[in-house]
Amino acid sequence: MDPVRVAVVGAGVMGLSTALCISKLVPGCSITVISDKFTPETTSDVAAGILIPHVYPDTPIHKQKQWFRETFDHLSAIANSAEAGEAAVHLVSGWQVFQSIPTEEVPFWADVVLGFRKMTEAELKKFPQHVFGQAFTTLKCEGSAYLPWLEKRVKERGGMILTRRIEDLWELHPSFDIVVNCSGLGSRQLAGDLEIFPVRGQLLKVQAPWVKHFIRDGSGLTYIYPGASNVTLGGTRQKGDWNLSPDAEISRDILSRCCALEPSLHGAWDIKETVGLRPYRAGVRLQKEILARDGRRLPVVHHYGHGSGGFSMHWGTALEATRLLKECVQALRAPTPKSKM
Amino acid sequence: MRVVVIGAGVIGLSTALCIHERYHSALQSLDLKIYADRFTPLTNTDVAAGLWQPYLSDPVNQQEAHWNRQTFDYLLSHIHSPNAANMGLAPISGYNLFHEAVPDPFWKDIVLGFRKLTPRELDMFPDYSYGWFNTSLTLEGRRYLLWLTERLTKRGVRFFQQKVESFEEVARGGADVIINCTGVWAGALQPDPLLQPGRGQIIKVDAPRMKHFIITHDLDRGIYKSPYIIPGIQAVTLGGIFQLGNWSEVNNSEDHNTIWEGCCRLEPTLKDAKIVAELTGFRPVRPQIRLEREQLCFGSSNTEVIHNYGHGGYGLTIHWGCALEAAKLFGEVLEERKLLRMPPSHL
Repeated sequence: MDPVRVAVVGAGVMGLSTALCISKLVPGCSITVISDKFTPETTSDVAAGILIPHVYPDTPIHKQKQWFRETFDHLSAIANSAEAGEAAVHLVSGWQVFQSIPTEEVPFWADVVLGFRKMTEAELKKFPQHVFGQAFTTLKCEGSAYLPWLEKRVKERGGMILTRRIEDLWELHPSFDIVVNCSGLGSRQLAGDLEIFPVRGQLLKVQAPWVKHFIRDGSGLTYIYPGASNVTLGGTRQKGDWNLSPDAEISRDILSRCCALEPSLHGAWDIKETVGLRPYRAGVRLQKEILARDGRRLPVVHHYGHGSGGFSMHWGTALEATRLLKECVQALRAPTPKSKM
Repeated sequence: MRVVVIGAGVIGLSTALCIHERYHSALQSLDLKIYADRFTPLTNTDVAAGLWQPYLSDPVNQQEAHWNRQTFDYLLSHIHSPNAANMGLAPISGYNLFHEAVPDPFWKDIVLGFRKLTPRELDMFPDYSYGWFNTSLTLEGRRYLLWLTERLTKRGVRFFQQKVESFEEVARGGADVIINCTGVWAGALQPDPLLQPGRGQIIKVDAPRMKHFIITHDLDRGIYKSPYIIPGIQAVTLGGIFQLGNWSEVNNSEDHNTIWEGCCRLEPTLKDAKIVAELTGFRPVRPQIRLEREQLCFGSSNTEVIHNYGHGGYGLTIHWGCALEAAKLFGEVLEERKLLRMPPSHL
């Protein structure tokens, strides 16, 4: 049987992890990852990569919990393995603090992370502006190490990598049998989806090796995430803003907000500014579509629109995209029904 | 009032600072000097991993529990400061691991967020079946000593590198009060059969992914004889050596292997970590800390000695509480000699 030729468009965390999932779970496929941008130039390279879910209003909670759990288990296995160093995955503990008591004191993901509990009065003393908090241990990835790790695993399994800018999914026909669209914001053009738009995030990546805990303000706007090689300070949420150049005023504001949460950050050095555009959508698009034009058919599996929650959900949604792909493969291999006279 | 502090480890420097802060303005004149043959980075404090954590069992002297708490609270009050990292101070969370269930330690309400480990957390450590999680503090020896030195220098306290051979020599040099912070070497100034070296060896590595301390316990073998991994401000300390009575200051290759194998078994990703240093030090082990006054007579005058040594493996953990107590004893000396011109300042 000829292999089914799969093109995965996009080489961020979604494209690469979906390619890896497919290579592991769907036999008889040849996989090519096609993108104009690869690490370290993708949105995933900017993201802090901490596993704290973002809630999608249009996706059922039980699904989000499943995706988060699958992602947590997947990264946990890496963190406990010999690959942890190469993939730069590690455990990190810390606090999410709120300036007013949140409506939901225990989020849906509380029993997926480790050791989740409410902060004690003594712990809250460290945050005089905040009245409520949650303490837990979670995982952190670092795009700049995790993406190369994923790419290596994809290549080991026979996957191919192609640098090319795709302007229209039909370019992939007839060289490929199925397309997996992981193009994030690129789907505005490639899928004509106007529901997806950028939410600009500016970040600082600094040296402050004494910071061992994450601290996140419940609003999600201010956060400190210590990683393998630097500490990420954030951030902003600017809807509809496509500007990839860092703004100096915003950088000063981020540093100031983070120092208010963690005064020792005044001593941080080697401050680098960076900007990423979150591919925001009310719900992750995980859907099959059969494109049709002039009698030609091109099955597409859409897998994009993760907004702030990409790293937190990536493996779970990649598994789902893989299931959808498997259905497409089965449909392709099914004997064609005899046409009626 | 001429005061000489002997010893420039964490006990010597913090006691000097504590006394100077409290009594400098209360006295007509306070001339405080520090004599030591070893300064940072050559003290035992420099070898310590720098984690605030007392021993597991209740101290023989109940006051020590109080001094531990005073130290934690004092350090905690500094973590908001922008200078905390310069002091060598930062919060750190982590794991204490056991082969069987154990009672909670006396310090469970001193540290933050103390709790037992959940089954999923224990799955990460297959050799262990029980444990604790809590948030504590890192206080890195060298940085803290440098910080204390800077504070003392700003206050006009002077440092002298010399080996003190006897209390008498210091007394005859003009000291009214001697603060004895000579740690493991106190026996050279006055024999103390209760004081012994608890030799430790540590390996420092670069492992910036490690954000938690992991301390294992083997209750049969005793404290510090089981692997521990303690991230500091920058490097990570690997240890697990405690040899009572061993005065060898040289790094031992068998001990190196014990530490390396034990810690890599605990945290396999360490095997690729780069080693940046390997050090040996001596914990000043004593059944309890010697923190008391003694009057010595040399010729016609009495010299007050305040002993403050024997802090074992918990010197950084207890140092400030002991400094406060030593300062209190110093205050008693001043009262007896009717030297106080105003009440001491309580900072």
